[in-house]
Amino acid sequence: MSSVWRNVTSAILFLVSLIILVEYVWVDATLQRLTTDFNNWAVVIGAFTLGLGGYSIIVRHWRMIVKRRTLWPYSVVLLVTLFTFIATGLITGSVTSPQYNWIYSAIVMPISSTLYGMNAFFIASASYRAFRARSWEAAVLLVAAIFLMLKNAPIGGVISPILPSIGTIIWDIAGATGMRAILIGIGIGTLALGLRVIIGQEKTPLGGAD
Amino acid sequence: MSWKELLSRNYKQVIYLCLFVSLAIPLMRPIGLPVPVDKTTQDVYDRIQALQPGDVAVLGSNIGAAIYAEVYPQYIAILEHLLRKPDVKILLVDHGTEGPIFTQKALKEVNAFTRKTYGEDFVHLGFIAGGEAAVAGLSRDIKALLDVDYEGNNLEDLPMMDDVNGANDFTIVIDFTASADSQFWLNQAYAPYGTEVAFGLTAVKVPDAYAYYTAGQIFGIIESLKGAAQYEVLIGRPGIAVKGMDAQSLAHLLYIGLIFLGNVLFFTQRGRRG
Repeated sequence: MSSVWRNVTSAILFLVSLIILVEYVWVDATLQRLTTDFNNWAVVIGAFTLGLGGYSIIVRHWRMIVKRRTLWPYSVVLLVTLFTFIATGLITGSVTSPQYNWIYSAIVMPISSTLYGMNAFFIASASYRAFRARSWEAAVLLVAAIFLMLKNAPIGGVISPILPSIGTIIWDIAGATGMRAILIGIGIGTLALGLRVIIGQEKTPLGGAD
Repeated sequence: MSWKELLSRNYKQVIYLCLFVSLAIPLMRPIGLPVPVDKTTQDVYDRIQALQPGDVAVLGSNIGAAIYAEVYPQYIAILEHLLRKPDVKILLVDHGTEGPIFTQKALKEVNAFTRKTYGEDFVHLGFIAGGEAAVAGLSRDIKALLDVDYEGNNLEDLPMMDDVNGANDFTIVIDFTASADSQFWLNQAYAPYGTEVAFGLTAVKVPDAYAYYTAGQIFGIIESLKGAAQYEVLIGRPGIAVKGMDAQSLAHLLYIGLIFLGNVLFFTQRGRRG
């Protein structure tokens, strides 16, 4: 990207960000209208990127098939699936049609749910193989995990009402406090990144650091 | 081959089989374990129970096939509860591409189209691309963002939308997701407009949301299948989530047993090695 073009985009970025920031604290009809427009443009761009993503997938996987790269048959499956969905949507004229819904409910949903559900089996195997009290820290983590599991399933309360209570204490004190610290850290980081973007110090939104 | 050899060589298969049995049996023959209600779920129930005629409840959804088992039962339970509230308006919006399929499925499952009038009592806006920008657009000015609903009806022709045009008109928002997009509603509806927000989440997302709950920024959380089961109990409509809790209980017991067994073997072997 040329330096002139980068300066122009930096200036646009700065101006738009400034308008949105000012509008947040200062009520003005013109600023509100401008901000609403900017926001709606972002939604349109978001919708456009979905199409761009689709195009990118088609090109990438078509190249994999043509060049017979490793695992290329999976690319064939992907493209056939993609075009089946597109064709069904176009032919039936709607994504609410029974045909479109049938493909989704009979194929995509069972496969996707199965893949997600397989985690339960991997966790079971991992809990036997990997979750070992090799150190004091690991032992603390292990005991906390057991109490939280007993808190999260009714069986804990059936065994003893104390078990979920201990889990709740761990959850409320250690869990929430730790997570809040992480979230505050993320918040500060986001603020710093936002400021860098606004003042043009962050090159990524302008097309990389080159 | 002895049992010991069999177990040491094929332990994975044995573990998988044990898990399969512990999940399948309670689903086929429920044990009927009690389902105690957490405060996070109770708070959502109480808030919906307190809704008045004319109030607007927004249900945001990013439900997809992957999280269907955990989050969809929550969505059904909440939707059912809202439909029972007289004259409460329901606005349905999806910010995940698969969302509309599940929203339509849910509306049919709870017979929304026969119990209420579409356009007067509830409206489905469909999927809106753009992530946080979409939520910001909905919160600022719906009609500036959208002309039509999911079915292509003009928003100007839907009587419910006469009085609903942004977060200032939303009484509550409940967002169902497994990703960080639940926070979009906090950023775009709660922070600028003070709209009350709650989440329906998968188990892995609950720790993030819990920090907001204890800080009072969200009024409740439906926590994974457990929360859905609790909500089903609260509204007196036990369904798939309540059934699933028995299976989950046994699976958790199995995990604890496996952790215990793994550690016993670990320390025994370490003791032998000196």
